[in-house]
Formats: sequence, C-alpha cells, structure tokens
Amino acid sequence: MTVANEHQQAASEVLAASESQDELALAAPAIKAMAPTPGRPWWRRALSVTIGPFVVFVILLGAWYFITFVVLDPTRRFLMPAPQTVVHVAFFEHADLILLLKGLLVTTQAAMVGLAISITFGVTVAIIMSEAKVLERGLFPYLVVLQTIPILALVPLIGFWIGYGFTARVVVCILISVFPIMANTLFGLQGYQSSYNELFSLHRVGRWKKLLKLKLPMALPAMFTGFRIAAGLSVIGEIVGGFFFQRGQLDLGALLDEFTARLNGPMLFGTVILASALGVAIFGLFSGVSALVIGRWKE
Amino acid sequence: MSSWSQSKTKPTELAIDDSVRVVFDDVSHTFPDGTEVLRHINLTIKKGEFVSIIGPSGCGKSTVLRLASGLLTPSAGRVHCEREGIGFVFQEPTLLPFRTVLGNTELFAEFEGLSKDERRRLALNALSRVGLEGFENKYPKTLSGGMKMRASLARSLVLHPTLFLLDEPFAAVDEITRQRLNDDLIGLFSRDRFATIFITHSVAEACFLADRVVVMSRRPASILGEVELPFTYPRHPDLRFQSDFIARSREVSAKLSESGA
Repeated sequence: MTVANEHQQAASEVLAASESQDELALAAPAIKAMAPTPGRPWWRRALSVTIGPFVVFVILLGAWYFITFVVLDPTRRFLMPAPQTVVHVAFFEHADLILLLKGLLVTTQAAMVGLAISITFGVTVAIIMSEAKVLERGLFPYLVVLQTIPILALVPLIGFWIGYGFTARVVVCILISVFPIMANTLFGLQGYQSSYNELFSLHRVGRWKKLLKLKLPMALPAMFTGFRIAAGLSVIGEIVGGFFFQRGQLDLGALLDEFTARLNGPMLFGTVILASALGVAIFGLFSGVSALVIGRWKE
Repeated sequence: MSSWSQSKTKPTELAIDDSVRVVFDDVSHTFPDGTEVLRHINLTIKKGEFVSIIGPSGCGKSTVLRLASGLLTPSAGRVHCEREGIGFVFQEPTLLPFRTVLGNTELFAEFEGLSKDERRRLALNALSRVGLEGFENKYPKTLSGGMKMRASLARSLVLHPTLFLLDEPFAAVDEITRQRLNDDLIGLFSRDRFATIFITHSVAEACFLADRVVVMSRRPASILGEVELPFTYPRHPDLRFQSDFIARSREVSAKLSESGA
C-alpha cells in the first residue's frame, strides 16, 4: 500500500467515524423515545413503562367496585358483579371454568383457521391486483362495498346458505378480517418511491424477480399491520358468528348469548374477559412475529 | 477537453467513434401528458469525461439521465448510448431497507448472476472505495444521510461502470457532508475515469467536479451554453479559491441567470 493510499484510507476512516457520530446525534431523540436515558437500571426503565397502565388499571378497578357497591342497589347487583365474584365463579369453579375453556378452544380454532385463510387469500389477491391494474380497478370498489356492509346483516344470510356450524363461523371470520389484509398488502406493494422501480428497470429485472426481491419485502411492514388488525377482527368475527348460530360445540359467542339469557353476570363477565384476552394474545403474537421478521430493519 | 460544440453540429456529421460514450442527437422529449420537457438537445459525452448539467428546477435535467440510461425513450431524435456498464445514483439513496449495506451493494452483481464469492469481493471493494469499511452489516435505517449516500454510490460502482449518472445525489445532505462527498467523488473519478453526467443545482458543485458544465434553460429545456473547466484531476479543495476557477464559475452563473433561474 502506498503512502498516498494509506493516507486516503485513514482519511476515509476518520470520515466514516465522524459521520457515525453524526448519526448517533441524529438518532438520539428516537432512542430516547424508545428506551430512555442510558445508564438507568433496567428495573427503573421497566417501571417507567408499566407504571402508567398499572395506575389506569387500579382506577378502572376502583370504578368497577364503586358501581357494584355504591351505584347499584343490592337487588340489581347481578348487573355488574364485583371483580372477585367474577374471578371466583368464572375461573375457580371447576365446571364453569371447563365450560369457558372449551368455548375458548372452539373460538380459537375457528378464528385461527379463518385468519389463516384470510391471510393466504388476502395476500394472494393483493399480489394479483398489484400485478394486473385492470383487476385492481375492477375488483377494488367491490371489496370496499363488501367492507361497508354491516357484518350483522350478512351473518344470518351466511347461516341460511352454508349452515350454522364451524364452517359458517370461519366464513364470518374471513369476511370481517380479509379486507385489512388485502388493503394493507396492496398499499405496501405499491407505496414506495418510484425510483426503486427505476433501479430494478435499469437492470432489466423480470417481473417475478422484482416481486420477490423488491415488492414483497418492501410490503412486509404494511402486511404485518394488516395481519395485526385482522387478528383482532377474526376473534370478533368468530364470536359474532357463534353468537348467532348457536350450533355445534359452544364457542365464546354462544356462551355469551346463553349467559345473557340466564342473567348470569359473573359468567358473562368471565366470557368477555377471556374473549378480549384471546384478542390481545393473537395481537401480541403477531406483534412478536413482526418484530422478529422486520424489527431489525424497519424504519 | 472536448472541442465539440453543440450548436454547429448536424446529425449527419456526428462522429460516433471509440472515444465517445453518450450522444444526444437532436433529442426532444414530451411526456405522455403533453408536457414538453426537452427541445433539440445535442450533447456528446466522451469516455472519461465529467459533465455537470445545471439548470432551473424542474427544467428536465433528470429526464436527460433517464434518456441516457434507457429508462425513457426520446419522443424525437436519437440517444446513442451503450446500456451495459451504467451506474445510476438517484436523488434519494434508494437503499433497500431490508438489506444490510453489504446486501445492498451486492444487488447489481446479484442481478448479473455472479457467484456469491464474486459478489462479496466486488461489494467489499466498492464499500472500501467509498470509506464504508466496518459498516457492512448495518441496516440503512441506522446510517446518517451522508453514509446512506455513500452506500448508494458503492452500490452503483460495484460493477465498475463506464458511465456514471448522478441525479442531484447530494442535494439532501448538509453542506459539510456535501463537500466531503464531492471530494470523495473527485477521488473516485480520478482513479476510475468513468464518463459522468452529474445533475445539480449548485454552481460551485457543478464547476468543482466537472470538465465541462452544461447550462440548460427553463422548460422546455434547451442547452444555453457550455463552460469548460480545464483543471487537472484529482482536484484540490483549494481550487475553489483560484481566480481562473472563480472566473469560470461566474461565467456559469451568468449563463444560468439568462435561463431565468
């Protein structure tokens, strides 16, 4: 290596180093927002993140007790049983717990099958639409219309056509969850700067290769947003379906209907808690997968 | 330096010999929406020549690059340009966010179907030329604007282009970074001597980098004039303060003000 070369390399190293400092300075606000001041022990950081939700939880619980014991007359207390009653009846009475857990299992199965079909179908249709503009222009208006029809209006019709069992509940899941997947994937496949397309055109990259190497990876963040929204919706869809259909194994929706009819407050609340816990769990699952797949590079 | 003058040359007299890399032969271009962008452009870029194009915003400077690279076909006239061996640097770094710096730099070698080892060797070489050693495994989101641009330069240089097209590449970075990147580009050019078309808004940048500055008019753009900058490469940053350089920069500014920029 010549002296001049060495000099140049040293200079470029200094350059790169000083630029990386710029970069740190630039990134600092972002880091602050995510994981605060470096040097603070981990438990204080954890505390600062969890303290807010905890306070809100305590306030909500307080409001619940207030309504149960202060607002409601003892004869009407079944409308909003105290938290410990709900927990005791729904989760500590063996027979009741089994009933709820079976419902949870049935709901989870149908919702997951529905979601899986929604993802496969939604992503496929979005890819086809993004590759063939004619299809996009022709199909998209109807997909929007499908989305605007109240799901409650469609549910009886679905029962009418394909029965009231598992399949029908899965279909309700798909109807309610497929649109956000399709719309977000389509947006992701098209929503990047046009210079990326030019970059690939310059090297005359074929359509298929471009889809795999550019469009699909670029679309991943939007796709995962769609999956997360759809995950919550699929649980709602399953429960709405079960609430109406009341056939086959009892899912959480059917249980909701039954406990309402029997004025069983604690079990009704228990069912609601399990249903929302399932929604949160599926949402969390997709957030986790999303962080694993795109967390390292997502901007 | 090029003694060729655009206004006197007729298409039939064009000498497209081995010394020429790009020829615009009476090229006019109109966009599909009817906007006329370029009018009767005659321009020759020789092998190893660095040409800056300067002109008012939105005058169609970028269209010149898109025509040269074959991304666009002119509505009238002809562009003679070998499509192999072109490096294109866009206004934005246009890095693939899901690939590391190394992965981005390997991209074009991958398109060409080169082996994994060969790709890596070429990419590492390109990264060392722009001073990005040690950043191979970083993702673009962790880089500063200047470093993203360096990665973008490395990506375009990976296959050793004979024609380098740069579309206002340093417009978005701060002034200090911009000067550094200019010095680095001079270094790269001095070594590899690729023919270059560099689009910019900045008179200082245009003159410091180029053998020849081409000044364009408002849209529909035609060539208002050219100024030669016969200074040797590599150019020292102090060149900016030499009287001859300043005089020629003034000439470019004067021509540019004719354009109404």
